[in-house]
Amino acid sequence: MGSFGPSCSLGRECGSAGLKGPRLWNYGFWVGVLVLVLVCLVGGADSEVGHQRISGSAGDVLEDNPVGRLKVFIYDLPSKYNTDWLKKDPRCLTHMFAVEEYLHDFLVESPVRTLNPEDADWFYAPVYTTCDLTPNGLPLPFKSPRVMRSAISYISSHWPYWNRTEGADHFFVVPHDFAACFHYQEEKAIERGILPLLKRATLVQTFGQNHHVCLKEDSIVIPPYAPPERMQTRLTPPSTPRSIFAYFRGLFYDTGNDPEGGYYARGARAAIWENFKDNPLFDISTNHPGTYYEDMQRAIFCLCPLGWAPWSPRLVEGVIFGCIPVIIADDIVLPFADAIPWEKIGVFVAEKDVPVLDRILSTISPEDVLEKQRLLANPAMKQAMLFPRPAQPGDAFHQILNGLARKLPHDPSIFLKPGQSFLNWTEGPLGDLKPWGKDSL
Amino acid sequence: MRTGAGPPRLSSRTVSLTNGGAPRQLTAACVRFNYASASRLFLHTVFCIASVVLGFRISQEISLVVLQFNYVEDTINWFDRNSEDFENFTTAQGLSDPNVPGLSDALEVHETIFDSLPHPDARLPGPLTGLTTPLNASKKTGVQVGRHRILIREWPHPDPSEMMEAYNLIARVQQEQRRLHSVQDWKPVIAITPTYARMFQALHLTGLMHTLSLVRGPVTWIVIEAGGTSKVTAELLSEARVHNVVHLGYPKPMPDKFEARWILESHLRVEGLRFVREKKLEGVVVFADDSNVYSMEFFNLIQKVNWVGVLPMGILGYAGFQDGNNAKSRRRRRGSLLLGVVHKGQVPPKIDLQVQTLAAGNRNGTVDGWHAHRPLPLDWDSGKGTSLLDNRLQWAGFVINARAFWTSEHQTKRPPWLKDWKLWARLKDGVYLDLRSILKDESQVEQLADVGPKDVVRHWWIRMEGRPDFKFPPRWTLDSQPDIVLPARSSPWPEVVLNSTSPSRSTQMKTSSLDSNKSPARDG
Repeated sequence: MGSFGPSCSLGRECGSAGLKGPRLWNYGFWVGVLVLVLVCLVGGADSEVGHQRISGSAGDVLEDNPVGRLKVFIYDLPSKYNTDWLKKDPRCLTHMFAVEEYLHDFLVESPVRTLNPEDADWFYAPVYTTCDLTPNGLPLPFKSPRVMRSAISYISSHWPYWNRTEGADHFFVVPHDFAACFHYQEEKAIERGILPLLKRATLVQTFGQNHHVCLKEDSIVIPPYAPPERMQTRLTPPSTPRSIFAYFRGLFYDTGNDPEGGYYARGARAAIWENFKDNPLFDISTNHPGTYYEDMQRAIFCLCPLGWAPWSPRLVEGVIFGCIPVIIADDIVLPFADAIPWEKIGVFVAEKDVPVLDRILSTISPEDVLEKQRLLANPAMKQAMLFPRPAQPGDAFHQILNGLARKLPHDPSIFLKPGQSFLNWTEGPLGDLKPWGKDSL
Repeated sequence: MRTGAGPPRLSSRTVSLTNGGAPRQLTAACVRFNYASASRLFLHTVFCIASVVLGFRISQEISLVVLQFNYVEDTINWFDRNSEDFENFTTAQGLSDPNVPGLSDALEVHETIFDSLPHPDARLPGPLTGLTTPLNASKKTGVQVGRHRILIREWPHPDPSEMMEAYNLIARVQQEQRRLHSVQDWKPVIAITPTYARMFQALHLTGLMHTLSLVRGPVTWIVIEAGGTSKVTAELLSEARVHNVVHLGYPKPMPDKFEARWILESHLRVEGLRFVREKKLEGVVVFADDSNVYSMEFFNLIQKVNWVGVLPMGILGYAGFQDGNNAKSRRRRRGSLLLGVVHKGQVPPKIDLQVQTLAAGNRNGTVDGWHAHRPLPLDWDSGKGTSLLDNRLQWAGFVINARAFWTSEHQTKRPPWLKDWKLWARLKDGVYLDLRSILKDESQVEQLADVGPKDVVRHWWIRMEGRPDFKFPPRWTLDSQPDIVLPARSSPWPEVVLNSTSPSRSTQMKTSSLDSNKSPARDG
């Protein structure tokens, strides 16, 4: 009898005639709360599965499907801008910058491609600027500005869409060290700045550093190309215990280009070596083991310090192999930073904190480490770092398209009014203004 | 160096140092309820409800901001200008020579404003080479192009308490890996080892002891000694770091002949199983002969067994030598494991490693037969008159659920194709008891590992020495200083060396007397 609440237990107002029946909304409300609690509990119990959903500042967008959200028109450029470079040097298909070729192939076959340019939201000009290789395989950037200028003058003279917006709805892939600054040396790259004709276009690049000339606000930062098959054939069973605390293989001093030290990697790699070469927790050396991939799968932390440029393929390898990346590069912008919450996944160490790196790493709580490993174990995360062929849903190609789709719809102000002009075709170093190729403008 | 260890221990004894080698606090049982994950779950629920109520997304990062803001203070203190730490930073100019004039003079020290850094006291002006203006787009950045100092702390060696934290972190990560990826219900391992005092017993038992101490989970090691329990064996077993060591004795001594040794060993194992039956032990029974060698993967594979499992077992026999290409040696080579040099121009011999395993016809559930040990003509002391051994399989290739020995036939969970103990464990003198005879239906055997070109054998059975009457010094004790056979290159007492340079005098080693009748004899 007392189950109807305190008002009845007081006794006086509740005679048998004055008993109020249970209100329907009362029960419905509590059932709804119960359902809510159950739903939230189920959603939270994902640590049992071993991995966790990833959602960055743009929300839970890693698994979005770009098909239907944007349309891309691909300019049909003469082969001297793309396939001729490949014929000259097929090594372009396997080096770190191969994304410009593979993205072209992907877009040609993709359902987001449209053959009707009036319909398109984005325009893509396939120019392979990183395919002029030295005998050693390193790309030379000296011709790239002229090649790019020549391509842009070609598209502006053969189609009206460049002049409509002066490139604001166009995107280009510039995966080289300092992106559209087109130089491998940072000081020269900063001096040159971004190619003036690309000022309004969206750039898809691997370089990302805040407050740097060579990164535009609206660029899409992508991971460097790493061959997926090569990594996926070397996976070891996940029950292999992780016994290496911190792992790194690579140069600490670049005696060829920086004999005095302090220049390469802003001294950070040298500091790592000098401080931790005797530390048994750090498995660091310059030698090239055959078991590099297997070692990474036995390591808990993989150090990813900057080199001559802040980005490195170690990040991709660390993510694929479940090794928490320790990123030592001030102001770096990591790939797909709006889709992937890198602060939750990796450990960021300032370059001046490198001498106490062991203290930083050993004071991370085990719960945080397990949380990061759970995030890394998410297959969506691994897929987003790879460029598999044929393309698979959720891979880096799709993340690029998602990034482009998130910028839509275009602001109507990008369309130039008659007489308006932002680009100066004679801006830039004199050497860039020389025409390239036989039929340039 | 031991001179005596007290009375031999005849009863079982629990060693509670470690749980199969892993630190005590990280047994699987501790993972059952985790406060941290429960609180995370609770927080997640709270924020989920809050976001539904308020209408926008609230995530757990808010709790980070609120609860962990105090950590920022700690990092500032690391670089307190007035503290010791800052003074302890030295710099290195890389590979440059500080004595070279001109370089350090030419460097301009720049007091650049690093106001994007979280703690302004940590400004470290680096000598920049010749750059008078920062080249970056905005002056607000903290990253400059150019030469930077290489920061090295005063004592670049690990701090012991931080090392311990790091190792605890590694242990916790591995524990989580085990929880997620490896076998969930770890069945305890029961190792049954027949042994007897002989030349290489110390060698073999030490190896097996260390192997078993690395096995995860509680291990019960039942050692049955022929000829009764001896002090020697008891001393060896006292160092074992397993959960439980049981040292049993069997009255009959080990005979000399090879075949008779096999037969008695099978009886010893039944004695050990009798112990399992009496105590109703749970787990997987492994017949670990003391000379066996195991890889750790073996113990992971046997966890899959239901009742009776078989693994391919490598058999290491006599190592022959390749001496020429004539017909006699070619015949010898066939079927034995060879060690030797292949000379130029010779074709390396085809090596057939002896393996005891289930025959390959088991893919569709039927068992065609067994591939058993075939003693080779060169396996001396085992090759003579061995036709009787041709039908028998070694116990070490099998693993059995311990319940097979003490559940009775009437219990519902016991499969009907397993013979009852009373029917099976009938020991007859001079008759080898094959473990195969416990099965009424051999097709029920589980093959726990594949045998194929890419698969590896995970444990080996070595049985090439073992006569109990080999003379050997059972305890390696030195009761007196050994004589010098080879003089030292620069001896401080040259007159002593000159006097006793005869190399023919062999070292004398007095052996201590034993309980069993072993005569002290020639050098081992």
